[in-house]
Amino acid sequence: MDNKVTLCLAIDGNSIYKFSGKMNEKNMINSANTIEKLLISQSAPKDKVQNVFELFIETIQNILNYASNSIELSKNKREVTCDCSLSFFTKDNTYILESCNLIHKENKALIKDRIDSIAGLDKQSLRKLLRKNSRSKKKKHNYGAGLGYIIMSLKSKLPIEIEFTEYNNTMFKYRQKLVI
Amino acid sequence: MNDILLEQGENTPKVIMNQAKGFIEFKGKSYPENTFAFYRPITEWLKYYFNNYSDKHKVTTVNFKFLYFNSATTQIIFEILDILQDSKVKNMKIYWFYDKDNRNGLEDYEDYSEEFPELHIESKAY
Repeated sequence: MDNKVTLCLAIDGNSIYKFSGKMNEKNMINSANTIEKLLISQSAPKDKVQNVFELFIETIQNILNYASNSIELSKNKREVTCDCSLSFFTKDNTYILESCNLIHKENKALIKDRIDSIAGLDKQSLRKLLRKNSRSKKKKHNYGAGLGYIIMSLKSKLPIEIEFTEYNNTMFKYRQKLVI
Repeated sequence: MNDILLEQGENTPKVIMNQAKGFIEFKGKSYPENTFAFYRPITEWLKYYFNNYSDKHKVTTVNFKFLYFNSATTQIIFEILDILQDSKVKNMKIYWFYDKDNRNGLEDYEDYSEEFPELHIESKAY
């Protein structure tokens, strides 16, 4: 399998952080801490720092759980090859978090369904849905509760952008863009 | 049942669960790779604690001092609050701490307090 998902993302001049390679829990923690320090050094408001930090974590944990090339290193420890980048635009004080990874063909419909189910919901509706789904016993303790996408949508300025590109017969490249 | 004292990790909170003092606290960031595995002993402890709550005059204090948490931790917080609510223990003080300069913390408090009105969760801005 091609482990180089890199080159999925075009890194532009506004990129302030990028990662391309093997992501695991340790790298996720290091990257999240680096991003947090970077934003604090830019004097970003605290809620903005929190939103970027949390959405980076949600994005990476989704990738670790669902990417087709995710490898289980040990119990509860996974590693996956992926790309991600964070850009900053001073004009409107906006951060853009982009990621790219491989997914199995069957996960394409699952992701699309989840995004479609929350598309167009306002903040209050998203908060209500988050509460409802968080308390749903039957979905509890599954990776697939879909809460991550609700939180991404709740804390993004614009709707989540996704794109699927056929990679081979069984996999797609999955790109995700969050405007925070 | 042994008390639980977990020091703060890089992506896990400090956890204090002291039976004799009736003191429970979560402090820091919470985004372990397998959140449910991390919190399972904690929710089990809480269930045991409240199932064996014989002294009706004893006061239990629960402090939530999270900085950041992932979506799986959100589920766990709901589970913990469910356990607290199901316990029917009256002498309980539950506090949600948040940074006054960060509106997310207040919104989280609003969501939890509205979802669990019987618990009378109090907010503490710092």
